[in-house]
Amino acid sequence: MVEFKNVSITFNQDHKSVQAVKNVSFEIKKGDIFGIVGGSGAGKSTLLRTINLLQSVSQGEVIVDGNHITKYKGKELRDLRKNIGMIFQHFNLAENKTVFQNIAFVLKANGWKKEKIQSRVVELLKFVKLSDKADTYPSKLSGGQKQRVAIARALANHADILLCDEPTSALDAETTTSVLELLRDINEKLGVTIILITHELDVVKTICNRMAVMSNGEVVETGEVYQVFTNPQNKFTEQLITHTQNFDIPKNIQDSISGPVVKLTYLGEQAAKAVLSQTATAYHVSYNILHGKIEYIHSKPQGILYVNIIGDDLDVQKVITELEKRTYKAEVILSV
Amino acid sequence: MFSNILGLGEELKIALLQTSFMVGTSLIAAVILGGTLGLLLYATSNHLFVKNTMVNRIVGIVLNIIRSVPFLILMILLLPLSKLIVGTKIGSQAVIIPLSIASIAFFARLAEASFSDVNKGVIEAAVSSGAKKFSIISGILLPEALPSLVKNITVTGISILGFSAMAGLVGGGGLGDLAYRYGYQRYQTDIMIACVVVLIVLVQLIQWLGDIIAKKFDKRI
Repeated sequence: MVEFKNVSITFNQDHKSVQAVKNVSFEIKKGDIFGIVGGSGAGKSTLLRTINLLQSVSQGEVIVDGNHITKYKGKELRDLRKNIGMIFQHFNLAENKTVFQNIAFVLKANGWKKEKIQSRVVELLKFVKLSDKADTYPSKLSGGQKQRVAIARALANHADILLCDEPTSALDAETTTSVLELLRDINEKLGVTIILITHELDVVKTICNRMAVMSNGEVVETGEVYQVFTNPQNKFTEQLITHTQNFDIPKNIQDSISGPVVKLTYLGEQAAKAVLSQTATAYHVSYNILHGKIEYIHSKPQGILYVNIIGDDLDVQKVITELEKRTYKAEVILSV
Repeated sequence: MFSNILGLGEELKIALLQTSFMVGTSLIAAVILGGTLGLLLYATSNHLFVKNTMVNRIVGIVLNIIRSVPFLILMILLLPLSKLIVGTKIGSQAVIIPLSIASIAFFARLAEASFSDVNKGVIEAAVSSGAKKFSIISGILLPEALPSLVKNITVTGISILGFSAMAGLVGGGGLGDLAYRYGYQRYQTDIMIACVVVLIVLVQLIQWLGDIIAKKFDKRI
């Protein structure tokens, strides 16, 4: 659906050239909800904007639906953009237009007839659950409602691809969830391919099926979201992920415990509880559970458990080896 | 003290009409031509439209030159042009040419600022929808800039009113001229006061009207 081939983007600022995107190649398939993550200044927004040519490409090719688009101009470019909706962090609604007028504008600009505009806008507002706000001005809407209007506007021309530039970064947690649910609906019910950039890993974890990780203009890792989260191949990705799931053992507990602290990761059907009770009896050790949680990554569970193992040194060594075998991952994060 | 006014009611009326004619005509020229130049300045400086540094600089420099010349001098310099366009070098008609040109240059810069203040993201969203540049200008840029444009039209109108006071120098008449000739040169203070009062009322009226219209177009609150 969308393919980047050796894409590089260079900006010239104050007689210095800065490479914002470096030799990026990967593919986004039809039907994906594809997440591009990375810190600020990683080049994700710049890369996203090449798909509808809001950003021109210095080198390489961007291929959309089999067409090389980087040289598109005039009508060809407008037709491409009609097929690619876009939403933004700050919604970008026209403030002096009502909700209805905001959506109607893109239809009118693309040559729709008046009667058809009316029914299409009504249909779109129903889909984003804002039917009662047609004549309201954006200043009277909440952030979540504004983003819904923006989504309706982006889809107005029956777009096949939706670009989302930090779509939930200006929203609170609750609204974020509802906007993400709407995006998932759009993907599932309308078959729209969604490409989303964000610095919030939770967003990717919740709705994306595949992802790319960017750092300093380079794509350092791509893959299935579940794979990347549970088994990151790249050092930067690993740091990014552990940073979000980090659990710091409080100082007073660190001082009072004896024996190593092990972080156990288990996936899907593996249940940690049975493993712990069985190994405790078999190896004559006892466990002190410090912290535990289950996360859902793209609807699949991942459990994380921090345990303090108490017992003879030799038994403890043996049990760690056994845990490594029986869980997805067992890492000693503190040895006392 | 106010004995002189009674005999000059007619003169005051004529002066008011002359001022209204000069200010009204120049303001219309400023809004249409100055607004267009402002749009040109904006569009040529923005890569989402038709970025063209050369055109932008040339227009900018010409406007700056016009704005640098004191209006009194500009008026005298442009009198031959008035002769060419309206056929005379004296009277209110002759004054509207230099007055319009000064107003156009003045408003062009203000209009450019109004357009630049429109949220770039909103323009970008319109571009990403596949709309033509013309649709974006008429459908998004103008309505979004409208409250600010109206405020700047108000500022321009009041400035033109000030400039028009110098029209007397070439026989253009108007309230400023009346105040100068009768009030200052003939020591008829009451006439001067009357003219100034009318000018104050005019300024208040323009400002009041401008504020109301700007507010009507502004849905941001």
